Amino acid sequence: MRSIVVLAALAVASLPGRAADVSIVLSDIGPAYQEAAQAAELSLAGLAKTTRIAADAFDQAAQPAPSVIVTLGTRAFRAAIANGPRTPVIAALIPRAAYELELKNAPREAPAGPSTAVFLDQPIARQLHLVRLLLPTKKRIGLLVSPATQNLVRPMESAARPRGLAITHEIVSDSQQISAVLSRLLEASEVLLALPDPRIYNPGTIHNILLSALRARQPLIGFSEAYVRAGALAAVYSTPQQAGRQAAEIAARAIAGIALPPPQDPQAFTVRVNEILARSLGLQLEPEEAIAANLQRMERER
Amino acid sequence: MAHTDRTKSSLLLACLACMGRDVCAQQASETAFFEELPVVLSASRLPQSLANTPGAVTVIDRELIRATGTRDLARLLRLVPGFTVPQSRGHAYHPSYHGLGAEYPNRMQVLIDGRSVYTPYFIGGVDWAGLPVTIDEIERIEVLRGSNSATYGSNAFLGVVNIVTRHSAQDEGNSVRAAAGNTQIRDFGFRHGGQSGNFSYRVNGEYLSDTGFRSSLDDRSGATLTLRGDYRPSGDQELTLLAGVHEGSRGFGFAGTPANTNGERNAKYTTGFAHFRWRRQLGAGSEISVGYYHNRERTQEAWTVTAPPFFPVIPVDFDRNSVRDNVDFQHIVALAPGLRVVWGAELRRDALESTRLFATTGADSQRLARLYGNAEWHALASLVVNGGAMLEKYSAHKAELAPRLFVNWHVAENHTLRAGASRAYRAPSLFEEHGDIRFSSGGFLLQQNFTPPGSLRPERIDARELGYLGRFPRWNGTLDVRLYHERIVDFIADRGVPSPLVPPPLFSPVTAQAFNSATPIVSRGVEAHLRVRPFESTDLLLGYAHMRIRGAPGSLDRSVPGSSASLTWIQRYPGRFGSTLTVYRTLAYQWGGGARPTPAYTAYDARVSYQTAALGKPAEFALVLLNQGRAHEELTWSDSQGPTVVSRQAYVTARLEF
Repeated sequence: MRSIVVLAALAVASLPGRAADVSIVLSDIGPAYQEAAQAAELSLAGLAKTTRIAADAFDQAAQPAPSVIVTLGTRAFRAAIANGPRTPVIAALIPRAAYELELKNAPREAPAGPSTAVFLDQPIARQLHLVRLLLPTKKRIGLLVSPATQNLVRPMESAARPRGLAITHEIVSDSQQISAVLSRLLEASEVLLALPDPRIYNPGTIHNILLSALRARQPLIGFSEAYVRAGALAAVYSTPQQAGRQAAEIAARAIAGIALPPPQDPQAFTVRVNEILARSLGLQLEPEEAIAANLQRMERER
Repeated sequence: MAHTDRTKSSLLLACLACMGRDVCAQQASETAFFEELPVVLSASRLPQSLANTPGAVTVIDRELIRATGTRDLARLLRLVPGFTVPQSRGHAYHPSYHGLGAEYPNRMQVLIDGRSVYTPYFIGGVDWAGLPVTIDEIERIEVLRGSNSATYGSNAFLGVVNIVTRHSAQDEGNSVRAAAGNTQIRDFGFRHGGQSGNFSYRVNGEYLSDTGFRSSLDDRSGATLTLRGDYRPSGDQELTLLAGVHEGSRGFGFAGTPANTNGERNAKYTTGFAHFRWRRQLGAGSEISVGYYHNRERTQEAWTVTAPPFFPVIPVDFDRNSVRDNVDFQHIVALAPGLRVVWGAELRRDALESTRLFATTGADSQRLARLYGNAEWHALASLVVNGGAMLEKYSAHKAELAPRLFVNWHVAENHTLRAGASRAYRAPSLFEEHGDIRFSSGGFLLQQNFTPPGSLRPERIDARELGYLGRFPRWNGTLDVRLYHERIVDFIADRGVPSPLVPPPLFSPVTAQAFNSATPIVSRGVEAHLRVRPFESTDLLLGYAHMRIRGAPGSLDRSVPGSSASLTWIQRYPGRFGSTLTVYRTLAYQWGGGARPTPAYTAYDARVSYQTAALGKPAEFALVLLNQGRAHEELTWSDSQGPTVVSRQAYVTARLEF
């Protein structure tokens, strides 16, 4: 918070004549985008004039160029880079894979301006720390991956090994086979870690996955609050507000003329646990705030 | 950043592999992070942690069921300490917890997905061979050892067997299985499951047949078809429909009994049910559900008694029909962190038709209303209190309150002590109260087998227990030890009395009549249950019970074997071979209802299995051996000819998933 105040002073000092303009482009009207936009606006209040624009209505050429563009969601980012803006673009509410794919697929004729991102994906270390904190006796983390997320296995393995954890994974190539593949995985794993891979984890498959995991008395660690409500033991995720604030901080630096940082992991995060499930599994868990504080401490210690 | 390039290329590959563009678009967007999901593990789906449960629970899970290779559910209860599972001719299993059982043990509740299959039939109890459920669809069997009426009502007087079937979303795809072996074992089963959007369904079918004991008529054949559909209109709601039918035939009786009074015959059984349940999640840990079910049972068992010259043809039958309708409501609510309450209400109507069982009225029925509430309160981090009660009213009796209080103290991590007390009542069954069996020919009353007693008081049980539950993470194991003391007053049994109706010289003037025993029964003992996985490839299960009964009428003091034990060893070998060996040891006991003493025995069951994907699909082949060792004697009724000796069974099974 203090840094924003300092930056605000910097920004005011460097741009005495004109207030900075920040366009906030939203992929969709859904609550996640609204909440992130609101958080970004609050953080930038007094520092820049913010304008919300729907991704569909976003037209780079039609308006005076803003100082900075904050995009919320993949579609918004695609729209913002489509016309090759010269203004810096800060993408939030976007998964790492989507960000990289959009950059790669951006039209070549108009070279894209500088961009950066605040990813939705939690850093691997944070997810592993959560497993260790909640389930100190469990060593084998099971991953169900599709060909699209298979590449995550190796970095997971390298991050797990020094922490005394092991990754065991199974590949689902056809969603019809989830049952068989999952039961193979559950024979080898002690806890499941869900990856944001809609080919495997979606509202149609979650029944099978959670019920099979419960039968094997293996908890699932999810990546959103919806997972905890559905029956995951816990989830670590960044709320839209947290992502919006982080994007706004980068925007404030950009307004002050500081170059965009490289794409980054979400800093602030939230931990949710399913106390009723924990009790049913015979686990005694600390309160959510204490777990989050412990996770932060573990990250500082690294 | 080395893996970033791989990320890109494999994402592209994945997208190329995608069938539709939508999937690709979804693949690389944030949808998954903000997607709403259905509530799967709603409050009622989550079993209470064993360490917090008010009582001892033994769980027989799907792996264990499959590892035993069993074709008969009742046999699985031999693995549960405190159970005696006698078997008699007519493919009849008579399991009871803590003895006190006769031909139809009726002091234990059996539920399938919350639906009571405790039949109003005959004396009450459960027809284990005719349950409309296939073994393949069972997810787990929870055996709640000890009186549980505060949660499950009057029929849970001594304990509860809770059979839970799998959610249909877990069983997409098909499977077929078959078995063949000696004693003419010929089985066939199939499963088909599918899913479309918010709806999933499953169909299971099973045909079982064998000739059973060689020493007496024991053959059975039966087919079961079940259906389950689960529909989720929204993320927080679920509608479940279950339905099933069973039709079977079992051989009873003996050739050449005097006057053919127990002549050979086939009894035909038809059971069917439909069960709806609607669940709605109200918030974290809160849920309401409303259910309705309809059970229907029909038995035809007829033969002819001949007593020439006066009565050359005396038609005899035990035909009966029963119908049950039940509605229930349940609300689970988390009132505060660490305080969870389950309360609900239930209404039921049982109707039983049988001119044989009710000679003068031909039918009988009763209504039942229940209201219950149970709270789980985490008073301290190391102390859990479970308290609750059920108020139950049968139409012909006054309302009775069954309370229960348990305290679970987590003495140290992984070590829990529990102490509890409960009181429960069992209302007399329709037959115990109004049964009137008469056999006549040409207008002459020849015999009255059962006479209505006039009035009966419900039985009452006061149960106390001390328990220990230990978890041993190093051995991947749990140990449950339970010391119990049960005192039953007004125990209902039957005794011989002179029939007021039958003229003496010709036929037996003695008739049976239910009565409330004047002497209290005290049942005491200790049970232990150990389950460990010392190595990844090995499971060991040990059950042991030492039981004593005093004060029971007739021979029922001997209805528990002094001790019984079972040991199961499950081993998984490299190369997808597996084996299971179970040893049972039971000391001598004498079941009620006119049974002869059953001598002590030791028996072995074994199974060797091989899993393969050689056919391109998962398949499993197994050889199962049952009742091995010296052929032992099972339950023999005093009216039968010669002892009932088990047959050693051997069969091979094959299962293919596709």
